[in-house]
Amino acid sequence: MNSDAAGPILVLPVAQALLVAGCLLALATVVVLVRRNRLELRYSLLWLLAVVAGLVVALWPELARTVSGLVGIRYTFNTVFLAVMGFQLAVTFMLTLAASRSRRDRARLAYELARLRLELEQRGIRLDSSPAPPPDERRD
Amino acid sequence: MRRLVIVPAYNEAERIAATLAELRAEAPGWDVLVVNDASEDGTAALAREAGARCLDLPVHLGIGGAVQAGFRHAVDCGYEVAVQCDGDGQHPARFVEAVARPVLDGACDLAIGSRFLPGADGDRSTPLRRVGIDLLGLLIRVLFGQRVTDCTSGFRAFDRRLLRSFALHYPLDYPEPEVCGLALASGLRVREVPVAMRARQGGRSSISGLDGALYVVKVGVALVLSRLRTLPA
Repeated sequence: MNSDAAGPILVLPVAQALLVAGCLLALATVVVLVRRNRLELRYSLLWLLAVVAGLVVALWPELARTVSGLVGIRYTFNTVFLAVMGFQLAVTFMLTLAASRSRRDRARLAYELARLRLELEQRGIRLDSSPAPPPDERRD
Repeated sequence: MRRLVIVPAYNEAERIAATLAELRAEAPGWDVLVVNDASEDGTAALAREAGARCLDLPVHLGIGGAVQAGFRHAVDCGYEVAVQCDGDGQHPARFVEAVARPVLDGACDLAIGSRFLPGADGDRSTPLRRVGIDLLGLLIRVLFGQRVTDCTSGFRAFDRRLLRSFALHYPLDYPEPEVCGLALASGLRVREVPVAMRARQGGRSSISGLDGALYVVKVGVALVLSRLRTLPA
């Protein structure tokens, strides 16, 4: 594909301004959440990367067109969509990895706690804890 | 040889006392550990009243996590053989010894109580479920070259090697067929023993209705993947 076929992208100043504003808002949100310890730094890096990528595309749309030409994608917005989808898949994958790890950790911790309780019981110390709350998802 | 019966129980208040009484009467020589998987119906208290040792999980882990907690306890306390026996009365205690026999004799590492072997004249599940069980059995045969008639049975005995390995890593979801696959993929010996199971008397199965088809697909994939894995020694 030649790069002339790459259609116009984000030439509207309004669209550009919206994208920049969106990125800055996202940046502010991430910074605030990290400061309040609600988002872990390791995950925030991911979103900072996304914000930077968004800003680059918003400020230098030509770049996206050039990349399209290089990889042979006819329409520039397809390149952008592809990049976003790839990013989302990567994030989802990371999250499933993190979820798998925390399920294993959770099983281990639950066992250790139950074992401690049993040990105490066998020494005549009974820890009466609050009843288990009904879990919202049974088939986990 | 120290022997443990692991009884995973989730909301089995109706049946747990009877199950424990039966174990005490018909499986002498076996210690019993109830793993209460964060029941909401007082199962743990009933198990303690019945005089059983009870591992009381603070959060619901599902059957895989509950059984694994039992394995961890078995390893921590130095048990050499463990039998998993459901708390809902499906698994008659008089077969505990029979299921464990090949493991106790050193003839295999994993022994499975099968409803479908000749001589097992008990409840044989519903026709639809049997189709699923047969499909998974066929897959095991194709993948590992061994016939397993009842890979979903939760009535099984484990030797020390498997206990230690499963204490480290055990499938958390629908573990039974996958465990057969993992054991066979690691070159371990799996045997089946005919047992007469009872129809479910209290509680509910964790798998029902349309979920059954999904179960077969998920477990099928898990079996194929287990072909590529080996258990930690």
